Amino acid sequence: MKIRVSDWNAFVNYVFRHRVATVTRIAPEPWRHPWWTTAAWSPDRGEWVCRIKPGYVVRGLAHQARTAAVSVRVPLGWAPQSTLTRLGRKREMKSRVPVDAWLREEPEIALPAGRWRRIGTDAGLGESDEPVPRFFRKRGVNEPGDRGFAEDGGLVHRRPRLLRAMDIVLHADRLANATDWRVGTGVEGRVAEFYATVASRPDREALPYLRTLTRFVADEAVDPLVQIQGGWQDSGTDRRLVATVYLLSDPGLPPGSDPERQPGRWRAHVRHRLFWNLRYVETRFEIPAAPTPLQVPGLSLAGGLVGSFTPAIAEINDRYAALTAYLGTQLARGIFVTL
Amino acid sequence: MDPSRFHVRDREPIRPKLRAFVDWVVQDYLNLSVAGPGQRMHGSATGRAIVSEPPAVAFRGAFAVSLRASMRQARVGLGRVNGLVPVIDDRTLDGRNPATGKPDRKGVPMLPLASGPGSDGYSYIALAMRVDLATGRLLDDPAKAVTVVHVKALDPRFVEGHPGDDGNGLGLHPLAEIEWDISRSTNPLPRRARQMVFFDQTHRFIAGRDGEPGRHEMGVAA
Repeated sequence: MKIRVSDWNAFVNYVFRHRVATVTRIAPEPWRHPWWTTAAWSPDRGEWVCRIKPGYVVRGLAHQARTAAVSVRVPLGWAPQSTLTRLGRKREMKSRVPVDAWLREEPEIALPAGRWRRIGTDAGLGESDEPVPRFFRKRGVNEPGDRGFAEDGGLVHRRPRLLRAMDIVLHADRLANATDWRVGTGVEGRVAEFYATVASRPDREALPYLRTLTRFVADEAVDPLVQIQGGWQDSGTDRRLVATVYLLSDPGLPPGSDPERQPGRWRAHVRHRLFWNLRYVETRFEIPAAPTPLQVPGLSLAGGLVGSFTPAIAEINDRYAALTAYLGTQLARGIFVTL
Repeated sequence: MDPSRFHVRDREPIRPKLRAFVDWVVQDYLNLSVAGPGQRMHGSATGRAIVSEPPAVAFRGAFAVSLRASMRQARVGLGRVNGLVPVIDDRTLDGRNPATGKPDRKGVPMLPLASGPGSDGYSYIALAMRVDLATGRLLDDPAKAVTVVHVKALDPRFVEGHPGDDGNGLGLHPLAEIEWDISRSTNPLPRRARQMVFFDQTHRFIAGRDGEPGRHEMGVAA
């Protein structure tokens, strides 16, 4: 067989030109909703941090800056340059003095050591009531106290992973409420005055703000009866869960391990709970000069004592209706609504 | 791998190179097809590079704001308020005549951002609702009832997260925040837009009592 040298070399070149040398996939930048959170270990800061795509809360702006920004507390040494510019501050590299950055300035938010809660494998007493999410169960986290077989019938992992979690919670401060009774004597007998009062907390924040909590428990609706009994007060803050940051360890890490000691053996996952910008609707903004009490005359119980209880029950119902209607007009309430 | 490895010189026996080359081709063989948007192939002497860049799955939502930064303009995607398509420059957001509903030959309108940023380096694109204070309803003129405007700062008259009325039947509701590059001392350019509203809106005017201004109550359309 004779092949000319030039033909052979041309053939080799042809094959090379047409071979696949590389395949590259450029992942598109996906659309992310507001409040999209990513978490990672920061070697510079020596702590776990998260970043949140700016979300907005529009609320009554009349009393504040003209902004729908959400603030978050960061150490001065790690504040974004735009925050320092806005506040007229200079960077002090090691300063832990807290300053309020706005989410739109894209600060790195610390996930403080010691605020992680344990879930599953090594959760202690008082922490074990939170079930392990199925996502992590499948990845090797045991329920606390698993022996042989888990309650759901699945096998217990022999080299379990550990799980930690921390919640990022949106707060909005409003006027705080309180109720009280004052009893006096009137012309027709004993008269009680029911007060529902509002007050501004000294540490009330003008802007909605984010905080990291070990565990967020949603505020339950208050029973009007509790409010009517008097001596009741609320925190003056409405809250909404933004996201839960989970840290999942490598298999076989000793129980009780801290994510800050061997950060390379932990991986962050985020479960999002809030997806859209919000408006914060408040029912009251101003504190009246003097509270308007509700006059509540004493119960006569005349009919009830004589024979049927029906008139007395009707009277009690009337009082209850009047008190709940009064509460509806007097109490400061706030709710988050999608913008 | 370099092709010169299989090259031969004059009078060099070709058989060993041929055997080595065939073995290499067999192990390197790949059945290849490249097709579709976002797929590219680059050829060179050492082979082909295939680059796959699939388009992003983008959620746009209503009133999606995109910037034409160099022109200091913004485009506002389609959205509705009480079923009405807002107007920019006498054209609806989808480029129609608001009175007749027919496509306008000038096409989709662009919103000028000529007024620039506020003192904090941000500005806002907002819906402007105008109501007849006598009836509390949006103006009958579809070109004026709901428009889109550019403002330097959010309206300070917000009440309960809703735009307060300016006393003349006008309320402003933010759609997007514009961040400006204010490092340029003159003629700053918009850097990016952050969407605030993603849904069609409902509007209801609540008249003020006892001399208080009214408010424009906005909500997400079902």
